[in-house]
Amino acid sequence: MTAIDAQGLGKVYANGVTALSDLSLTVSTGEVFGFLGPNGAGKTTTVRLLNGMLTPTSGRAVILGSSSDDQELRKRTATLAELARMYEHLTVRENLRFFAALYDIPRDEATRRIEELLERMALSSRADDRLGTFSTGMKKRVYLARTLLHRPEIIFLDEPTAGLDPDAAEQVTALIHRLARESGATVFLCTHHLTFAARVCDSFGFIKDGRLVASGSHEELIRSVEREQKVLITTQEARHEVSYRNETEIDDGVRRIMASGEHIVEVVKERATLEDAYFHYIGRSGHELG
Amino acid sequence: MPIFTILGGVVMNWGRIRAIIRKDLREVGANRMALIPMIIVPVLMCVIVPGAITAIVLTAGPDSLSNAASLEQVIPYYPVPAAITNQVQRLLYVILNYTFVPFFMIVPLMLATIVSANAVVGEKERGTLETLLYTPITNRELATGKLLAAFLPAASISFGVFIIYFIVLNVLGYALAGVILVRSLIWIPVILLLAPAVSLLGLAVTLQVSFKAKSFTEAQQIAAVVVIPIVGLVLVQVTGVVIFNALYVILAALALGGLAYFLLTRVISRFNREKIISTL
Repeated sequence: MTAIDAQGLGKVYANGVTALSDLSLTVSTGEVFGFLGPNGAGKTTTVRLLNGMLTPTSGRAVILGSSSDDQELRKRTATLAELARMYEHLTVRENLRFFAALYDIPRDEATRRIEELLERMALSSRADDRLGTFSTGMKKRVYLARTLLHRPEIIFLDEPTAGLDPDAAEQVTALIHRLARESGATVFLCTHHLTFAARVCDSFGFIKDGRLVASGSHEELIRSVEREQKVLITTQEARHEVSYRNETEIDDGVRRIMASGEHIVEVVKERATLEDAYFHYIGRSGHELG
Repeated sequence: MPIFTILGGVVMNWGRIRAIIRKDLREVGANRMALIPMIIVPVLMCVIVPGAITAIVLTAGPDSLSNAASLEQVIPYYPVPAAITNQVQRLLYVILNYTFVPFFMIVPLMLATIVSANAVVGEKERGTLETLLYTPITNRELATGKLLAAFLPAASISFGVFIIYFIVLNVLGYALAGVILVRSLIWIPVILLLAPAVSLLGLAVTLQVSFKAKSFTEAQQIAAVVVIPIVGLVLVQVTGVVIFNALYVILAALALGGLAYFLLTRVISRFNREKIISTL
């Protein structure tokens, strides 16, 4: 089953800026898709095209079988955007009640669902405190609870760990990971936080300057950038990098070093990482390492 | 269960509209700094000022008003009840039943524009409008919710202030001179029709401006343009060029209400999510 199917999606804003060109990608139902790229690459524009906030200037996107501009889709999707906040004057419970009403969740069901989410997000003890008194990390958990209220089939997360300290980012990451598995929802996760994405996502897309430059599973992306394989041989005396094409060459390399009189401490096969693949496609300039 | 109704051929979900109204009212109530002036200013304008004028004129005579002479000239143009024979009381009757009418339009207008500008631009400034747009709420439901969330407090505060005006001024007049002064029937169409129509018009303009404006100050400045014609009305009224009578009031209310309705439907039909989200 395909949850998100974008074909040749493009967006040129009214001011003439091309934010996205010819983006084609598919995300299967239940998949956690990581959309990675530097700031300003077009991630937010992509999310807003997929969740129906913006109309594409070319191409089209089919979301859960309907065209992305179908107004009814908002009942089945949820978006957690970097700048989309909730009401600071209201308490957590009041906030969640308000949004539950906008999603037409009947009162009793909303009450049950809210208590359940508060429990899951470890927010129960502060449910009647005003949101304005919360730390950024706690607010993010409230926002996450909001996106899950109506049991969405697709969750768009745009930089969910932005502005969080490493500890809070870690907590939120773990939560997203668990919730995505438990709910079975499809997750479209935008981030420039590589390590975070590597842990949570099943497959990835890399975007640069409004273009999708690579996509695939973890394994596929790594393989696509591995031109040569390497072993790192550490001896008491030095460190050696040995490239090989055939695994029997590893043995030759080790023998050669031993023959020179050095004492081997460690032999490690070096594999490319998602990070290597990312930098291969995106380039290092202007990127903030997550 | 949400209640669905059809307005202008479009189904609206009143559950969502109610949620918006309740949330906005709760936010206004939670913000004491905004709420207190919203009550003090109307009371000052519509109770303290006329109360002081009445008390002074009744105890010290009409000469205590600097423009009493010019005011006295216009008395014959107003339908002052024959039962009031005392010249001072006739003057006060005109002041309290006619000269103060525009104040009871300025108050709801002012309240409605402040609350609605804040309700829309405030959501933009605090980053909550984007979150709202991600929910299934429709443009019409959002605009209707915002409209009512500003109209209801404005209308009820104005109505409450009029009741206070009616009681305080009549108690004062009766205690000092044994006369009930605020009793012209013109107040019925003024309070029930004209004031709501004027505030709806102010709301229509404010909503139109607010969805486009980037800041609260910007929205308020533009919306203030609506207040100028009303201030003009005050001057016109005081100088006696136009005399309010019930028919004029009803006609004016219908005209302004019609204009407000036209503007509101335009605001809703031109409501463009894409434009709004791009300016956030």
